Amino acid sequence: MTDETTIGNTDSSTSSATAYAIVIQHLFKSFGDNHVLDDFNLEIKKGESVVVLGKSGSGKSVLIKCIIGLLKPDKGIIEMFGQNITEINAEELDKIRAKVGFLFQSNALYDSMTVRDNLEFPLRRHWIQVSQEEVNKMVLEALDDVGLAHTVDMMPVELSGGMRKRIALARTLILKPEIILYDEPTTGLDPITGKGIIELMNEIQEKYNTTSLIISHDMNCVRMTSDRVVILIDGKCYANGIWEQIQQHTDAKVKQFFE
Amino acid sequence: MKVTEQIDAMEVSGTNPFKYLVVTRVFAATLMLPVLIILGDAISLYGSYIGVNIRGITSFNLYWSEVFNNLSFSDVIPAFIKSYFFGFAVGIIGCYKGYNSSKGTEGVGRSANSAVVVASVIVFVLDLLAVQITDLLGIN
Repeated sequence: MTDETTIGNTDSSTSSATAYAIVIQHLFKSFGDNHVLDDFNLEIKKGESVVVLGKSGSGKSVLIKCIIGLLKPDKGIIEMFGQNITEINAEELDKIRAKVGFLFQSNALYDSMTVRDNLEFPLRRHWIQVSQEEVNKMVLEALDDVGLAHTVDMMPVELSGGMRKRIALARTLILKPEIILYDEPTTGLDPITGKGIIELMNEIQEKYNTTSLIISHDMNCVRMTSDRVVILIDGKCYANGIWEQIQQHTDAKVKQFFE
Repeated sequence: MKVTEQIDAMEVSGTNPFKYLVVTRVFAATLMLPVLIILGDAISLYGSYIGVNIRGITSFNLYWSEVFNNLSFSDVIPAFIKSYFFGFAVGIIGCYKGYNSSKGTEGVGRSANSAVVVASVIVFVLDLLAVQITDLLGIN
């Protein structure tokens, strides 16, 4: 946890020491004249849970997609496991992605596949060689973690929104990732189901000691999951600190999130 | 799949979505459209037999011997060959429109509509070219 709140971009001049799981330096991303990320900097320590809070359209999802390599930044450095992912080739990027779980906002379950096939899909990479027996064991273990082992042969369409979110989370867990990126994990869920997902995220964090980067504008989610909160405004890391400090902030742009 | 982030999920899972989705579908469309055309031709010939035989005056054997007497390879082979190109065009256009679909379910509907229109026009153009080429080669 950080012990002080900062306003403005936290310029990370330190190199990506092993203590950091993710280091983002001077990240720029524009779509035409719309400068979504404008000199964004962030460092996330191993085992830390950081929430990026921002208004809709502020660039939170763009940030997380740049981190996983779905979008290419215009400029800047994104280091994961000591490798700058903006400069590596597709094969190296895939190997890094194997250590990173990504929970999509829309769950992104393959609707033509059963839950089992959805979970097996990430294991079908050509360099991952596991027997069918091990695959079955991994699938059931991941489903057990989210409390849905009985849904293994069901289709995604047969599941409720909360169950689909849990299955999507099980799919991110199947490869035992060291980092999990959550893109608005509670969006579209009722408060009770949302709370269940938040508790599950915390359990996973505790059980596997994963590093988490959570994109959210659900204040409950931010409060309950964050070791540290980063506020993204105008494409920059505008404020950075623990929940209590951010909540008591006097800056008008930060205060508006709590009003 | 694009609008529900399934293609992104595939990429994150280390799978090349172009190879996994586009190549397989284009290959399948190219390979299967000629089969579909053969099936369509067979159905139309049977339908024609029913039409001709509605008063029960033509025997089954006579009908088919007349059909094959009047059909030549130059009727069948060019049509069969060009159906591979039609299948390829339909597959490519469908995948392109689907891959670049956006703006939710409405966008998917628009993409499907656009894919049908563009594929129909392309099939028409390809057919036009095929007729010109077979004419030049003197096949027809």
